[in-house]
This record gives sequence, structure tokens and C-alpha cells, in this order.
Amino acid sequence: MNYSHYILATTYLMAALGLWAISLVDAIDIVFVGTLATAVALSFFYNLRVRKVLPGYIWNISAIALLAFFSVDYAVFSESLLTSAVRLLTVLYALKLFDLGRNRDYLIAYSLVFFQILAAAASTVSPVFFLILSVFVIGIIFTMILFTIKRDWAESGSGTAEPPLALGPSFFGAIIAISAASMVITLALFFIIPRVSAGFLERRGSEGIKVSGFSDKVDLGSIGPVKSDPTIVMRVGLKNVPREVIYFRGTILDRYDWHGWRKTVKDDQKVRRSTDGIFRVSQRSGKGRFIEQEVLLEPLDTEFIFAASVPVAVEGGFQTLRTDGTGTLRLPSVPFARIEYKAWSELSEVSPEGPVVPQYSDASYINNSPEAAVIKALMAGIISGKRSSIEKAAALEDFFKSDFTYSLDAPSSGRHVLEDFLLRTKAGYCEHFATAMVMLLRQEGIPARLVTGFLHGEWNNLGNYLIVRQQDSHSWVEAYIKGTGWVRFDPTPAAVGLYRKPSWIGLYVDLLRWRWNRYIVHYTSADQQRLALKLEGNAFMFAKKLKEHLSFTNLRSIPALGASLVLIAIVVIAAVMILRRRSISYRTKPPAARYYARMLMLMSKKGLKRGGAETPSEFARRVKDPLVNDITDAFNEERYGERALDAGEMEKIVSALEGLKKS
Amino acid sequence: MPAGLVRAQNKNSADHLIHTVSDMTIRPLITAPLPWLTMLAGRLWGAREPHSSAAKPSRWPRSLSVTREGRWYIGILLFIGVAAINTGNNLLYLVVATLLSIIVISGILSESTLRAVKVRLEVSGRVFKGQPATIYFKIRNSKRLIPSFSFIIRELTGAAMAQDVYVLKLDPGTEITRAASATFDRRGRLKISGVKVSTRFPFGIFKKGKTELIAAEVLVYPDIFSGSSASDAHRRRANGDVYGGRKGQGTQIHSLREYTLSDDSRFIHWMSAGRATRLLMKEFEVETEKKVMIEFENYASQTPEIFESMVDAAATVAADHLGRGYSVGLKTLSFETAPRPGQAQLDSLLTRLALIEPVHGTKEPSISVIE
Repeated sequence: MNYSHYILATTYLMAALGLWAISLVDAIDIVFVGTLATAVALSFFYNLRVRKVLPGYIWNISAIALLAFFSVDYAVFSESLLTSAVRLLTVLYALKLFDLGRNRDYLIAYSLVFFQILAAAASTVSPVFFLILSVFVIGIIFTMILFTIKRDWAESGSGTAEPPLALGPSFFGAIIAISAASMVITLALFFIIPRVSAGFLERRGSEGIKVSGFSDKVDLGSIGPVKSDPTIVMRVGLKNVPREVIYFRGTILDRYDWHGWRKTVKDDQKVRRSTDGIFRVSQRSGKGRFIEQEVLLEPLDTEFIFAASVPVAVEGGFQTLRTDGTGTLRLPSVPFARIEYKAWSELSEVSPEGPVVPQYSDASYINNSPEAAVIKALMAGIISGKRSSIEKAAALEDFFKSDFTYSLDAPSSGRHVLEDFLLRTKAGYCEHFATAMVMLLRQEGIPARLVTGFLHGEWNNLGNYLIVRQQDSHSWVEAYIKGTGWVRFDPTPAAVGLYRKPSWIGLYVDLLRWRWNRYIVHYTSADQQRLALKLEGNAFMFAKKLKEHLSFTNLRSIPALGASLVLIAIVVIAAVMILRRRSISYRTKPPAARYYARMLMLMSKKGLKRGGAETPSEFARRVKDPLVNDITDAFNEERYGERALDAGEMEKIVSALEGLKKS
Repeated sequence: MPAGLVRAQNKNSADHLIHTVSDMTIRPLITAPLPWLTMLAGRLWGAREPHSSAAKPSRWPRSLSVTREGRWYIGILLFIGVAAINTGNNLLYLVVATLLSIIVISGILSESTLRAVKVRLEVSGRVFKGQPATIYFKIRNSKRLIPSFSFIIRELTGAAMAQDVYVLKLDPGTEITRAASATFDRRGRLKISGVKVSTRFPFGIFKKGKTELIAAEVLVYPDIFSGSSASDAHRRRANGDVYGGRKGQGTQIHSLREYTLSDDSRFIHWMSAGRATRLLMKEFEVETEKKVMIEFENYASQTPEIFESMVDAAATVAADHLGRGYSVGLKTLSFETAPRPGQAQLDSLLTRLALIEPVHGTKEPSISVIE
């Protein structure tokens, strides 16, 4: 393969990268990508077979026509500058592939690919972007080197069209090594560049994942469809594997009718933010294990954020945080972007939050049901012999877990869905169980409320975090127990075998995705400060340990002393080797005149060094030594007179050197 | 025999002032029997003479300029940087970091190309003022592992190079020779202090260069071609292409030929015996009666150009007459050379004229040829 073949191959690699990059843009559909891929493939055969370059004016006219077309596209169809620009760039690139004649055409083509990748950067957060960027770096380094060499060769007027430089395995190996070094430097610079966001033209993210159960009105059955949706909602980093099941609290719903649940208790209040930037949600009760969570929440279509029950404090990049006194957390508005925050919680079943308002005792639905008496009798049988509220609630919870089955196929709409569940089907999912339990507790006079949120998730031990998905959406019950507080009850039986456990490859891929989102996409100035402090701390600790190790007390031990001596010896030997390399004899010794170099070394020992810009004659005139003059004259004779010294002359040189040595 | 050694024995020579070894540049305040102690004391407390006026090379002499492509590159980098700052989009920061890393890599690779590239200069044959001369660059890559790619050598200080010398690849530890044409615009012992070595490698975004110190001297003879008496024949003779005299029984060597058994062994050219695999025999020029003495009154003129043209004229006359078999001598206000024929005499006269300096006086410089 010659240079032209390599450049053509790289050009089509870039084309593939560009198409891959734009496929990451949400608004670009597969049909568009497929069509352009076909055009690129056609151009490949065109370049191989025909190799005819289009006249320049055709490309210019086409480019102007496309610009006009995509202006209309922006104004009428896409209404997104980014989408129209991406389409325009891609079509231009496909067209350019039919017009590859001069070096400039290739450079224009690569620039178009670069802007495609830039467009992907502006609209995606996929970790695949990093892979595309890395391959692009390899390709661009390769072609820039080739083009530079080719151009320099052409300008040197050497005659042949292509430089006679073999592009063998070592060359490609060097390219890979250079590209790898470039990516390492890229990552280092990425973490160092100060993060500032002026935000004048900041673009909002995508619409967000549609989640169910986190609004003021939740229809019965709305959670059901998402129970088989594996879409990741959030990732929660924990220090250790959780020993207990974690309930991520969402919102509280209080009023039920046959349509569904509503939130009528409105006790919205701002959470106080302390001087250290942390929102203090509640006081620590000392009950339950205290944990710290690093939450990366995907863009959801709700303003609620989630933390393990019971949340105590939250820290994040939002200006305000609100709660309603029951431990729910909500932002002022839907963020429409991935957000990251820290939360601290006590893993307790008991939540001391909130007053017992009348809504939590409203059992009007079940009392007005045509089968109220049957339900009441059922309840009486369940709690027979139980005296306290907590015993009754526990009995009810056990009843549902043992006598009912979990099923996603249970009916979730209809006027009497709750009665059907309780008396006939005895199968359902979390909404059915939680709703039924709340109604029965209220009927018994025990205040109860429905809580929606997420149940635990999947532990990824590769990264020490929980993967919480849509399918982990859950509803449970909080019953007010006098003297204790709001106690959590979960009447839903475990859903065994419904969800397939992912393989370790799946877990690893998710770990990469999480790391990518956490440390690249959501890297902030706070992270930079933490990194700087950590590096400073590590350097300080290292210096301290080294100092202790090298202290006199420690050096008394023979192994420590020996190690120190070895280290010192290595440093000294390395210094001597470096200094020797820089000595005159290494620097100035031309192959043919070693005697001249020897003379310089002898004079250097006497303190007379020849300057780098000093000619031999100038040095000899400065030194004013006849032996130096003689040796210099012989050197000049040999060097400029193209005449090697004969044996007699060499003897005289040797004796002159001896004379210098003795003097 | 090197001329220096001869001159050292001639104590009446005005060319060198012979100093004893004790008259060293560093004069220690204390003396000690051990030379290393003397040296150490000298380094610490000795008074030092300033080094030569030749400029000391600074630690990191590099020039850097941005190419046209580089300006585009930097423009795009700034544009994306502003976009990244504006949006806070970390992927744009990643792209900015990538572009910056390419600049860093460019700096490292261009430095590795230029580093340890040493250039020596060699000039063969006679060099005349104003005439293209062939010079040879011995370019060496002193690095042990890393080759140097795509660099040029240009801008010889003290001379005009007709074309830059381009090197595509120079493997580590190797030396190559490249010929170039250079023109020197004045006569004398010219110092060539350095050349510029520059490269656009690897990406063509920046052009980095360094000045490689050569510290070479070239003896440039006066111009003997632009005078009215110049001709092609004279030029060839002056370059030694055509030997000036005829063979005879004179004392000047005309040529060398292979020795045969019938030749007189007194005329074997022993100087070449050590190098050649066969013995060579000296052939002498015929003694000629034709003699001229060029009298050059080298007074300083009102303008330097007049003096230089006089020097050129004197050289041209000498070359012309020597080429026609004359014995030519030169008499100036500073020195006198007896008339002799042959190439060696031409070299001697041209050297004298290359180095001649004007003498201050009231008269104008003049040349006369006395036969």
C-alpha cells in the first residue's frame, strides 16, 4: 500500500466514525444514518474505480444548495439548530467523498468529521463517545503526520511524488503509542482544566424518563407497566454492600378513590441550608444505621429526588430543596438533566416525620364499599387476638405476604379493583397490596399512608453501588403507631424469578457507564477541589512517611540503612552517567579528529573550555599556546583541507598532546 | 608537516606569540603541589578572564511560529473552549483537552526531532567571493533510540544558501552528508557560526527551529571571475581543473604518476606513500623565465567597495598570469611574496589577498603589474 491508499483508508474510517457519532444524537434517526452510509459506500467504489475529481464549482454549488435546504429544515421541520447542523454536516461529508483530489479536500473532510463528533459531544452523554473520540485521535494523528511529511517532501523538490518512507509495523506501533499518550494527556488536562459555566446559551437536556408514582395524582395501575422496564433510574454509590433492604423514599399519597391515589396534604416548606451547603432535612434519631449515598439520578420527569428512608441531609448543586414534613424531597422544578447529589440517611423502619392529619385516617372508600361488611369481617379474622396497633399491622402484613401472590397480570382498573383483589383474585403487585393494607388499617382506626419510591435495586459489587431501575418502583405503607411514630410496612410478597439477573459483563458495562457519568459527564469544580486536596494529602503523607523512614531512629535498622544506601547509590550513579554524557568528549568528538577532542578535554581540565560558537581557530587564538595552535592547525588541515595526516604528523600530534598533559 | 609546528620553531615569526604554560587564564591565589587541588582552588577563588566574545548558547534556544493550518487549529480550539465554558458541557471540555493534548504531543515530537541533531560543515575546493560553492553538511543524529523526521537546514550565517537542505528521516546514531550550494558575499576568513534547523513535524501546526552552532571557518578568496580579464579558461585553471604549467626540470611539482623501476627513487612522493597502495613519482614543472610582480598599494580607499574591487583585480591578474605559465609575485605595503609559478603559488597569493587589510594613508589604493 502506498501513501494514497493509507490516506483513503483513513478517510473512510473517519466516515464510519462520523456516522457512528451522529447516531448518538437523539434526533437523528436510523433511516438518515443508513441512507448516508449507503452514499459513503458508493463513494468508496467511486474513488476506487473512477477516481475522477468533480469540478470545484459543482461542489461549491451543491454546498450552497444544501445550506439553503437545511436552513428550511431548521425553520420548519427540526426546529433544532443542532439537528439541522448535524444533518447538513453529514450530507456535506458524503458529498465531499466524491471530491477527493487535493490534500485540502481531505483536510476539509476530516474537519467535517470533527464537527460531527463535536455535535455528538453537545447532545449525548454516552460513554461510546469516548471510544469514538479515541479512534478519531488515532486516525487524525496518523493522517496529520502523513500529510506533513508528504507536503515537506513535495516542497523539497525531491522529484518523486511520494516520500520513500516505509510505513511498516514500527510506524503504526509508534502511531498507537503516540495516540495512547495523547489520550493520557487528554484525561490529565480534562481533570485539571478549571470548570466554569457562564450558561448564556446553555442547552437543556432531553425530556427525561417517564416515571410513575411521583406526582400529586397517581392512577391505580400506573406503576404496573414499569415493573418490567429495566431502564436505569439512578445509581446509588455506597461505601459497603447494604446489609438491609433499602427503601428509597419518593412521595406520600393520602387520599384514595377507585381511580387512584391523590396527595391532598400540602405542607410544602423550604429545607434550611447550612453554611457548609448541606440541606438539613431532619434530626438524627439514632435509630438505624447511618449511611452516605452518592446518587446519580437520570433525568426524570419529576421534581422529586430520592434518598434512603429516613433522609437526614442532602448536598447537591441545586439552590433550593423543599420537603412536606413527611421526609419527601423535591426540587423547585423538574431538572430535565442528570443530577448528582449526596444524601445521608438513617436506615430505619420508623420515620418520626409529620403530623397525623385527618387524611391519613380517611377510610371512606372502603366504608362506602358495597362489600364493606365482608372486608371488615376479613380484617377481624386477620387481627384476631392482636391488641396493639403494631401487632395488628404486623399481622396484616403477614397475611398479605402469605395468603396472596405476586402477579403483574392482575387487573388494575375498575370500580371495585380493591375488593376484587382482597376477596377474589388475591393476586397483584405492590400497588394492590399497599392500597389494600392502608385501607384496612384506616378501617381499623390506625392512621396509614401510601409511600411510593424505589425498593433497593441491584448491587454492583464491581463499583459498590446500587443500580435502581424502573422495575424497582414500589409502593409500601406507613402506619402511625402511638409512642413510636410512622412505621414502615411492606405487604408485597417478594417477586421471585420475575427479573433476570444480569451477567458480570452487564455489571461491568454498567460500571463503566456509571464511572463515565460520574467522573466525566458530571465532573465539577467541587470534584477538582476534592482531587487537589486528595493529591495534596497523599503527597504530604508520602513525604511524612519518607521522612520517618529516613530518620536516624529508623536508619539504625540494617534493612532500612541498606535500602537507603542502595537508593543513594542509584541516584549517584545516575547523576554520574548523565554528567558523563554531557561531557565535552561525548559532545564534540567528531569521528575523524579524536585528538582534537582529547586536546579540548585536556584544556577543559585546566579551566579553558571552548565555547559552543567559538571556532577552533578562535579558541587557539584565545588560549595562545603553541601546542594548541599546532593541534588546531592539523585539525583544520584535516577537516577543511580534506587531507589525512601521515604517520609523522600524527606522531607530532601525540607528542603535543603529551606536552599539554604534562604542562 | 602541519604548518603550525614549523611556525612554533621559528621564534622570529610574528604570527604567534609564544607564551609559557604558566601564563594561564586562571591564576589561583594559592599554589599547591597537587594539580587537582590547584584546579579546584582556581575554580573557587581564581580570577577568570572573560571568555571569547562568541555568544554562549543559551540553554533552550528554540524558535516557534504558527503555520496557517495552526492558526485554524487554534481558532477552532478557542471556539470550542468558549462553547465548553459557556455550556459547562464536560464532553466539550474533553474535546478541548484532546486538542490541547495534540499540541503537547506536537511539542514533544518536534523537540525529539530537533534534539541531538548535530550539524558540521565541510567545504571542499576553493571558495570565491560571490560565486556558488559546494558545501557539505554532515548531519548526525546523536540520539540512541529515536529517529528524526522531516527537518530542513537553512539560513547559513554568513552565506546565502541557494536551497534549503531537507532530510526525510535520520536514524538514531547515524550520520549523513548533504551537499548544498552557498554563496559568500565577502572575502576573508569567514566564520560560519551556525545554521537553522527547523521542522513542521509532526502535525504541521507549528514550525519549530533551533540554531545549531557550527563554529566553522571558511577562507573565501577574492572574486576573480567578474574582472575584465576573466575567462572560462582562467576560471577552470583557478579551480585547478587544468594544471597551469608544463612538465620539466623545475622545482614545482606539476603532477604525480605511478612510480616505475626505471625512475629515480629520489623523486618518490613519500607523503602519499602511507595512504596509497602504490608508490607515486613526482613530476616537476618546467622552469619559466616569465615573471611578473604585482604591486598592490593597499591603502585604504574612500569607500570599501573601491578597495575590494582592487583586491579582486589583483587576484584576477595573478590567476590570469599564473594560468598562462608565468611566475607571479605579490608586493604590498604589508608583505612581499617572491614570484613563483603553479597552483601552490596561486593558493598562496589568493590566501594573502583574501586576508589583506587596507593600510591607512593619504594615497588611494593602486595596482601595477611589473614584468
